[in-house]
Amino acid sequence: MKNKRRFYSIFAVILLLVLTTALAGCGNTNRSSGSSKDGKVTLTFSMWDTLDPNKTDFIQEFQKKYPNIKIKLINIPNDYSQKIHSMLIGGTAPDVILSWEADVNGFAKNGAIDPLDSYIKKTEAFNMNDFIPAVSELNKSLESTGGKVYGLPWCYATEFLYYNKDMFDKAGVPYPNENWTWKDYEAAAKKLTIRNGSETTQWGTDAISFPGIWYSMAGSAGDDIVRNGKLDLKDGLKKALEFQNQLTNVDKVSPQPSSGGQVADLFAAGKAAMTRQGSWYTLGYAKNDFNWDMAPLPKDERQYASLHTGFFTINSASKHKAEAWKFIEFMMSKQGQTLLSKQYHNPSAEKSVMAEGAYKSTGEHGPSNWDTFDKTADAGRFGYVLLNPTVTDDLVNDFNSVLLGQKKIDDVINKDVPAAQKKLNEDK
Amino acid sequence: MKKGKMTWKENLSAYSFLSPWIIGLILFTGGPIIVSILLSLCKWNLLGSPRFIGFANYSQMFADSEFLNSLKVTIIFTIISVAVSVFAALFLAVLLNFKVKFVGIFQFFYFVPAVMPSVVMAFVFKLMFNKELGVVNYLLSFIGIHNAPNWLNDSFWIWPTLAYASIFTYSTGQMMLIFASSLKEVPPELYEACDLDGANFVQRFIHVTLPSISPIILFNVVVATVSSFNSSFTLIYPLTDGGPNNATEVLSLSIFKNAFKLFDMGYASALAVILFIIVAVVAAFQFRMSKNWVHYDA
Repeated sequence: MKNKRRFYSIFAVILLLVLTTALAGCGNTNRSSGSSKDGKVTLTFSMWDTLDPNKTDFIQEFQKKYPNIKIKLINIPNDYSQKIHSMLIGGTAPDVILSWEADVNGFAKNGAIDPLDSYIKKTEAFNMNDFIPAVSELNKSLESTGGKVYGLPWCYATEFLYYNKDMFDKAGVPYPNENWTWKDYEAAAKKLTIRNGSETTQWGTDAISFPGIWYSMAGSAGDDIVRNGKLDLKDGLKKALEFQNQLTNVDKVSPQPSSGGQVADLFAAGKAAMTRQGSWYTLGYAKNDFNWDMAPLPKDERQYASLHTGFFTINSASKHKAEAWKFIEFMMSKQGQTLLSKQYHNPSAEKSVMAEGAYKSTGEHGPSNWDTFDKTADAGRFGYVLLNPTVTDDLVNDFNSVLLGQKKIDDVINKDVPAAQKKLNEDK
Repeated sequence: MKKGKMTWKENLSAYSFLSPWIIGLILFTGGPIIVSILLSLCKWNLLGSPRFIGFANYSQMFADSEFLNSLKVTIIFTIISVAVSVFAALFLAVLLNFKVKFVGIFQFFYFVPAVMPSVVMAFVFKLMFNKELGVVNYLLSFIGIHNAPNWLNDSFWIWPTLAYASIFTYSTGQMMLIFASSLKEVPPELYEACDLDGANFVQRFIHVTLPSISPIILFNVVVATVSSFNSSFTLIYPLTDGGPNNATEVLSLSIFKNAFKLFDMGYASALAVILFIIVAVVAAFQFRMSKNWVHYDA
């Protein structure tokens, strides 16, 4: 009896072992590349927003036009770039990848995405000459990849100066316009700062919470930010740091950079008269309960604003490249671009579609200066967004340290910028 | 003869029962550790294939001032975090040991912060400690402090804020429960002897309670140290992301950034190997030192 029991217990354990090893193999094989069944093709598409495919117009319209193609949306709200890299290694990356500007070059060099030139030559859905200047320039400057186009921009966003009209009226200050220089900006901020003893109850302008604004300032003061793939931050950055330090610590019209700056928006809270932010804030600010409007960023030597976008790219390991191109072609056509504009309120990078204005969203209290988009688009550049975002974000932390009195401006220019360049070089 | 046969079968059944855990350890822990050590000798950016470069990562590491800063910051953070969390856990456990009514409710509320996800807590802290709009500075303005510091952006005030935040982590709650149960195991005869000798509460605490629970204190200190090295990441990444001017760039955060943001797997693996060695050395050191102050009862 004892022997039998022992035998059965050993047998049970070995059976358990075998089962666990066998079942471990059948884990979550989330094969993200598309599949085809009886003529129907499932195309996988990744983007960094969380959308419900049944309620998303551009997906529904595309599926109506091509009934044999179904779009499977892969939502990746966090660590988008990292997840795409992991999926590419694991061979589970989607057919159409909406890529970050900083990733397109790397993907192209490593053969992870296909060039689109042969498709673009045959299409009639859009015209390569219809794009805003920065996109055409970018397409021409993709020298490291043999001058081929690897991605098409899904829309674009840039940066604006937003202002509170009620506060301006109360202080009797004229509204900002496209001719504003940094001096005008500083003077207005001084008039709009209200102090109550040692406390500031109204700030002239909010602190910088979006990294792009720093680079736009350096660009406006003369730096190219990125030249031949290398960081170009010298005198322009110095001027930008001195100016922002002046606003924060000398004139005291701008608060110090504080924690949670991305969610603690002083402008929206009605505690700051101006702010410099991304153009996509027109959607959120539509809910403001004060009268507001927007203008191009104040300039120093020249008008400069950073452009932001995402690029439609085709995974080179995809088994449905023809269908993937059909999707991209649809999204870049007038119909697709208009649907995208209505969804995200970001203008299209195609001038003809942008002119129709489907991206505008006016709230109860503004805005009305929609031509700010056109004025900024002409001066917009893909500057810092072409570089690894961790490096550019870390540099912004160094800029903020200057404002907090923890670093000197010369240290940033002479130590931190070269260190960042070193990190970018290793990224090859 | 028969005895020999049974021993062989006993051994087999013993190993069979151990094998699932051992296989799991090899597959999910041992294997990745070995791959990590091998990767630390290579250069890999996740898209190509790893390229062997010998000890170049290590020589780069020791020449990098950021790494030396990380080491310094990690040590400071570990000391502060372990001291604060062990002390806070012990304090709360002593409070829970008093025989008051509804002690269960107190225990529940003391433990609730530990179950809150640390990322959620970090975001709430970020808003609370915001210089302009935060609750903390708002309340301080009521007692007359109008120039309250910029808590999370000041290289000095970040440390008290971090110390305060580490009270609300899971490891503190866990330690509090362990302390609470171990306090109940102190032999009551010792307490009675104290009362007879006329000792007051503090003397009783220092001379009777602490030595009796010293094995548990050792356990909690080692666990807190190891977990502080590793899970400092979950607290610091959402809260300060390296802090004002790299003042809180702990080693675990540096590993994450190098691996998944700069895509330099080889360098990050080298950092991880160093962290592994440091944790092992510190834990061994704590065990050696424990012979001086831990009392194991018979």
